[in-house]
Amino acid sequence: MTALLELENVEVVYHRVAIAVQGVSLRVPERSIVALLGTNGAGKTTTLRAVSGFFGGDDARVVAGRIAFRGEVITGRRPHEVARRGLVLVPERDKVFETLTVAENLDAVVAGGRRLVSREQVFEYFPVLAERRRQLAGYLSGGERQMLALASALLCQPELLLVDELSLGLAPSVVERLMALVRRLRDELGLAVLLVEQNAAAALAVADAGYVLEHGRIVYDGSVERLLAHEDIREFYLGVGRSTDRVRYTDVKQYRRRRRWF
Amino acid sequence: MRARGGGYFTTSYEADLALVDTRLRRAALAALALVLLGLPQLASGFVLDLVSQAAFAAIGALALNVLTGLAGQISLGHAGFLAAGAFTTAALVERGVVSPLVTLPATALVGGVLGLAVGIPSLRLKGLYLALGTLAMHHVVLYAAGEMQARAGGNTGFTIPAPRVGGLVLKGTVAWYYVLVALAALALVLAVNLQRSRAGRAWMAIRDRDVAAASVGIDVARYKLSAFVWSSVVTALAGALFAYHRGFVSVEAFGFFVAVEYIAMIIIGGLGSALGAVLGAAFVTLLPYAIDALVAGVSPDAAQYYVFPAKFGAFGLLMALFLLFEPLGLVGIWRRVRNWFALWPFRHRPLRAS
Amino acid sequence: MRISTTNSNGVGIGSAGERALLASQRGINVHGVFALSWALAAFAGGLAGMIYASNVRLEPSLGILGLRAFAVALVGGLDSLGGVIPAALLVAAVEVASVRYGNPLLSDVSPFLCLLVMLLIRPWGLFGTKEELERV
Repeated sequence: MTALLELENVEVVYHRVAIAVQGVSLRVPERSIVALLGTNGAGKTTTLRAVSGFFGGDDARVVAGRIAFRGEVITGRRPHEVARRGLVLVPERDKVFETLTVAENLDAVVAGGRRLVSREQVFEYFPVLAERRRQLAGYLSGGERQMLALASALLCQPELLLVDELSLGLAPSVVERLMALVRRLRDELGLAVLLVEQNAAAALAVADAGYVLEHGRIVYDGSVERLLAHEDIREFYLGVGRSTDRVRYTDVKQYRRRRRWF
Repeated sequence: MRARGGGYFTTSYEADLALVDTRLRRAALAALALVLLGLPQLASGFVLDLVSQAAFAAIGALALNVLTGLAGQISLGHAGFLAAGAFTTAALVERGVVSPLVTLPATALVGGVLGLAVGIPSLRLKGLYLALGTLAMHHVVLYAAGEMQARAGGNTGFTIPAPRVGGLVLKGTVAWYYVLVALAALALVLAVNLQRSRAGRAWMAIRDRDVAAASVGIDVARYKLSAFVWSSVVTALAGALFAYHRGFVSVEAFGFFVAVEYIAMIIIGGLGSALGAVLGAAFVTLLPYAIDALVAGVSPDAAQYYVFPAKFGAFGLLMALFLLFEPLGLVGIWRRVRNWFALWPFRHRPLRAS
Repeated sequence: MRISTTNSNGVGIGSAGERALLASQRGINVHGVFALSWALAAFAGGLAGMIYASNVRLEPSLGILGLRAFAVALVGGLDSLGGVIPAALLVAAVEVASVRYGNPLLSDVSPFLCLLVMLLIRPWGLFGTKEELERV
C-alpha cells in the first residue's frame, strides 16, 4: 500500500554548506496521525519545510532524496502547488495574517478541488473564532491564533495536514484541547496528520505511529506502543526517568541508527 | 557562513583584538600595500585616476554601509549628504575662507547637523516609509543647494581652488591618488573598528530586531541617530573632498542617480560588510570603463551610439542579477570560494556526530 | 497591503503582500499576484508617462518624475486605492501654488515637502488604515 506521504532519503542543505537533515525516510498512511519527535535543532521543522516547499528566504535546498504525495513526486515544488494538491502546512511562526481580520484570514485561501469542510463546519470546530469574526488576527491570544491557523488550513481542503509545533507557547489545557481536536479531525473527516512536536507526551497521546529525529537523522520509529515501550524515549522525551544520574541522550547509544544507503 | 578550520589560537589580548590575525592575511595586506604604494611608478595617469575614483567612492560606500548595512536604516538621501558637504565648502570658499583646516571641520559640523535632521524621522518610521522620508530630505537639500547656486554661483556652479595647507598645495594626479587611497584606508579601518565596537553591536542589534534590542537596554533612539550622524559626517567630508578634487561644484552632479549608485555599491559588494563596501565601490566605479572597453572592442564604430545606453542598462541588469542570484554580494561569492577551499575535499559541513 | 476588503480577490492580494510565504501555503499563487501587481503598476505608469510626454516634452530624464508617485501614494495612504485621486489633486495644487507664489525651483521639492509633513503628522496618510501593528 503506498502511503499518502512518503519521504525517501531526503537530505536538506543550508547555505550550500551545512547539512540539516540527512537520509530521512518516513511514511504517513491515510487517515492516521504520525508524530515526528525531536529536540530543538533536530531538523523537524526543516523536514516539514522541505515537504511543503516553504523555504522562503533561507538559502536551503533539497539536495538528495524523493518526496512523494499520493505517489506523485513533489520535491522542490512551489508552496501553492503543494497546497492545492491537498498537502497543507500549519507553520510554527507567522501562522496568521496579523493585519487582516479573522474572517478575512479565512477568506484568503485558495483551495484545491476536494470538499472537506465548509465555513460553517469550521466555525463549529472552533466556536471561539465565530465570536471573534471581525477582530484583527494580530490581537488574538496564542491559543486562538493557533485555532485560526488550523481553521484556515482546513479551509484549504487538505488530505494531509502538516502541523509544526502545535503546542508551542500554549497552556497545557489548551494543548490538550487542540490535540483532542486533531484526533477528532482524523476520525470525522478522515484527515491524515503529520504532527511535529517537541511535546512528546501530548503528541504520542493522539498519534498512531511516530518517528524520532536526532541531529538530522531518524534514529527510531514505530507504532506508538513500540515508542512508549523504549526506555530511552521514556527517559529523554517523556521525562519518565529511570536513573538518577544526569545522562545526556547523545551519550547513550541505544538506538540502532537506521540509514538507507540506496 | 564561515567554515573556518581550527588551529588559530590567540594568547594575548592584543592578538585577540588585532584586525589582521593570520599570517596569510598579513602577507596579503603587505603585498597590497606595496602594490598601492608603487602604483604611480608602474601605471599610467589614467589607471591612477581610476583607482582614485574607486577610493573616493569607497569612502562614501563605507559611510552608507554603516547606516544601511550595520544599523539597518534605509537611506536614499546619500547624494544629499554629499551635496551638503560640497556646497558648504563652496559657500565658505565664496566668502573667502579657503583653507581646508577650516572648511573640513565646518563641513563635518554641517553634515552632522543634517544627519541629525534626517535621522529624526527614523525614530518613528521604518522600511519603505523611512526610505521615502530620506528621499524627501534629499530633494530638500538639493533645492537649497540649487537656490544657493542660482543666487551666488554664477549660474553654472562654484569653482574651488586647490586645497592649500601651510605651504603645501594638493594638486596633480599622483598627489591626489595618495591622499585618496590613504583616506579610504583610514575610512576602512574606522568602519571595521566601528563594527567591532559597542556602537556597532548596538546597531546590528537594532537592525535585526529593534524591539529585542530595546529590551536588553540599548537606547534605540540614540543609536539610530548616531548611525545617521556618523554616516552623514563622513559623507559630507567626502563631499568636501569631491569639491576640492574636482575643483568645481554644481547641483547637477548630485542627482538621485548618485544615491542609487551608492546603494548599488553596498548591495553588489555585500550589505553589512566593510570589505563588501570597498569591493562594491571598486566594481561600480570601474564598470562604466569596462563597458567602454567592451563595446569599443566589439564594434568600434557603433561605440558612440551604444555606449551610453549600455552603461545604464548594464548597471541595472547587474544589480538585478546580484539581487537574484547572490544576495550576499561579492563578499558572498568570496566567502563561498573560501568555504570551498576550507571544506575541501568535503562539500558540506557534516552533521554533528552523535 | 489591502486593496479591497470586500472582494476575496483583494484579500488574497493583501495577504500576499503581508506574508507571501503563508499566502503561498494557503494556495494563493503569490508569483502570479505579484506579477499582476507589477504589470498594473507598469501599465498605469506608462499611461501617465504618455500623457505627460504628449503634454509637455518627451526626454529620457522623464523617469525621475515617477518618484513623485511615492509622495502621492503616501499622502493618500499606501493601502487606499480611493485616496489616490484626492491626494494627487492636493499635491499638484501645492506644487502649482508653490511655483506661482514662491520660487520656480520649488516644483521639484513641494511634493516631497507634502510627503515629509504627512510622515510627521499622519504616517498612514489621509485615507489609509491606521493600525498599531507594524506593517513595514
